[in-house]
Amino acid sequence: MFLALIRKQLKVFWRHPQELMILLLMPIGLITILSFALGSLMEGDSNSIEVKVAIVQHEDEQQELAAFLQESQGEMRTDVHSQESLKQMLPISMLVQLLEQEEMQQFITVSQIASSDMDALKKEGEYDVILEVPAGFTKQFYTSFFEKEEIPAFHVYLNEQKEIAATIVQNILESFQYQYSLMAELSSKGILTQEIKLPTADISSIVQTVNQQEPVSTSEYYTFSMTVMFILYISGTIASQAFLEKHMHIFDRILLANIHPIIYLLAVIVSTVFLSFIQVSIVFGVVYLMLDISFVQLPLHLFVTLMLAIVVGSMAALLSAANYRFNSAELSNVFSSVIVSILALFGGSFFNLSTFAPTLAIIGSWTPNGAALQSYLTIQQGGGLNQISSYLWILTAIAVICTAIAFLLFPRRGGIA
Amino acid sequence: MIEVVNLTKTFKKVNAVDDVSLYIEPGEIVGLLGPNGAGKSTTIAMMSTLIQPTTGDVLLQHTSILKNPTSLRKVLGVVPQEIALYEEMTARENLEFFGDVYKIPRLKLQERVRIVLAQIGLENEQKKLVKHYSGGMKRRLNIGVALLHEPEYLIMDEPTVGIDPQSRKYILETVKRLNKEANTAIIYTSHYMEEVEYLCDRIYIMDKGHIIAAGRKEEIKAILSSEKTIVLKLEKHSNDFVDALMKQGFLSNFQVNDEDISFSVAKNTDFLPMLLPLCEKHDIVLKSFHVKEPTLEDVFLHLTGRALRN
Repeated sequence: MFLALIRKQLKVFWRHPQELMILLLMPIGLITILSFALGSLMEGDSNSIEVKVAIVQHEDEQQELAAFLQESQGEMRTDVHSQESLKQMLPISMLVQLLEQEEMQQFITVSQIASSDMDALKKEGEYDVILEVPAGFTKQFYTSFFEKEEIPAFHVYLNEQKEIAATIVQNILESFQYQYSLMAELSSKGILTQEIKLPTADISSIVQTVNQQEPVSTSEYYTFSMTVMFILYISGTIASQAFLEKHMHIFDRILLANIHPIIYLLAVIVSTVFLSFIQVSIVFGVVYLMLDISFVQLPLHLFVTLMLAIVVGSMAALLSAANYRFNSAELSNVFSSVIVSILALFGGSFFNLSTFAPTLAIIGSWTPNGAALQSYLTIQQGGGLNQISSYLWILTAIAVICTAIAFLLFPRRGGIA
Repeated sequence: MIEVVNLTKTFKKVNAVDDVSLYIEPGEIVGLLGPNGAGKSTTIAMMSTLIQPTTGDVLLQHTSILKNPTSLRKVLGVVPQEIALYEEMTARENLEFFGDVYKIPRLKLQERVRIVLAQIGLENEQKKLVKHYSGGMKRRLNIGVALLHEPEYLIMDEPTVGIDPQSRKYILETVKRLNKEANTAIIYTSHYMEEVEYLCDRIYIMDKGHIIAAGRKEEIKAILSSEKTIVLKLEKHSNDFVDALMKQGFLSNFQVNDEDISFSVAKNTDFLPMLLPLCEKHDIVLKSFHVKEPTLEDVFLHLTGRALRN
């Protein structure tokens, strides 16, 4: 009998195509649109940054070094030890080596382009950054190093349409310049040893900073934020359908079959939990296939989904009970049309509140969708059960309170109003 | 036997039902007749345990069921005035769902669904979604759901509201057949006096929350046994003529339509010596007149001064 109530609920739900569209197609559509529309603007979107760097050299570094060494032959500064050091310090080679480090390769692609293609390269705009090394740069660089002459410059062309990419490379170049100068100074003082090569620690710290700021992609963020928003609509929909059962005296028939009203209310909760879980699973499945979003800790994701689904079930019970008590579907309609939007706003479904309104974000984490969203994001960032336990307690508390009020409110008899 | 004893239901200080008592014995059809708002639906909602009476009691086999309604619910089927069905499900799915809710075992339920579909004549339409049914088909299925658990008593609340004459006839025949073949006792509420008159052995007439008359059809009609109803068919009539008739002290219960006038008169009164000169005086052509048998409508009019469907 209990199963029959749940089966019926699923059947009725399934046969409302308009509601199915809202609950399944809309979140998937919005996730896709927002991911593509806001992907390049959102902070924390490391996947969307792909920096293409072209290096155009109008010289041969080795020949330039050889020419420098020949010119300075017999001088003190260029003894055998120094010559070896200088070979290790070819400036452009070191820069390329830095850009091609494993950490950098995740988002920087370096291409060596022939100098004859320089003009075409600037016109096409295919590359985000072009480094043009003029003829005689290396020789002049070493000369300036030892003679304290003016330091030569290579040209950097930044694609102004790719501001983030340009800024990243600019930061890397500045850091490189500083590290190189430091290393050269140490070398000149005889402090540099063979073991000390590229001072990569500081440079990689930049990369680490980038990673910490951008742990979750836009697609991932909106997958979770839209999911926790649209799951709320299920409670409103189920509560409206439950009221229709009262309005049409179907509930009376159920009571006349000696079904206790609380059993009916429990069936509302269980079927809502089931439907909510299915909805989230479908959305996750589709975005996994469409947007290649991976759920790094799937069991934890499913656990949070189950907790959220239980909260949605309890909210459906509360709204149903209120509809029955006040003999109107007004409350569930207001919930679907107004309250869900407010919850979504505070819960961070439209944008990440913590970036500009931390207090509101804290309040938002007390909403069911906000707590679930924070749980999902924490899990996606590699967090475990401990890190999300506070959010899970919030979800549990909401579920218990809603269910208790629903049971108190729900009428124990049917009949005419 | 189900008995309703001195039931009263008060909504916001208004007595929707006031001190109503009635009973139904196994195998009989009892009519509950009254205009809209008379308190019929509230009475049956209390009788079927859906709402608690303010005062009074409901007894099954002389035992109160107010505190524990389970025993009554087992033997009672209710056909609500509303179409209490899932429109997005087929007739069969609806019947199977309500059968499951009544905890009818699977095998037996299949058999019951087959029988009920035959009883309500929807075997060929059982796989159609209810939302695609006509009003009459929905009403039939509405009845069918209440029959699934083979109730001994069936309460039908205005089961023919808003349907075509053919479906109405089908439903009335189904009710008769149910009573005859399954010996189901039926309480039939309606504001159509001809339906109640056709179906019922005993009748309760309700108005403004009270039972104003009760008994067998003949007994109720006997309320009017001291009077006869005269219907005059006229070519045309004038207000002066009607006024003149009304001034005759021995006529009552006037109803004036375009071409006919009806009124009541004491059974032994010879009204022709008064009528014919009056027609002549007001230049009225009398096409015919006849003495009508009293109907429940006439009884209601007599008791309340209002027509049943007003």
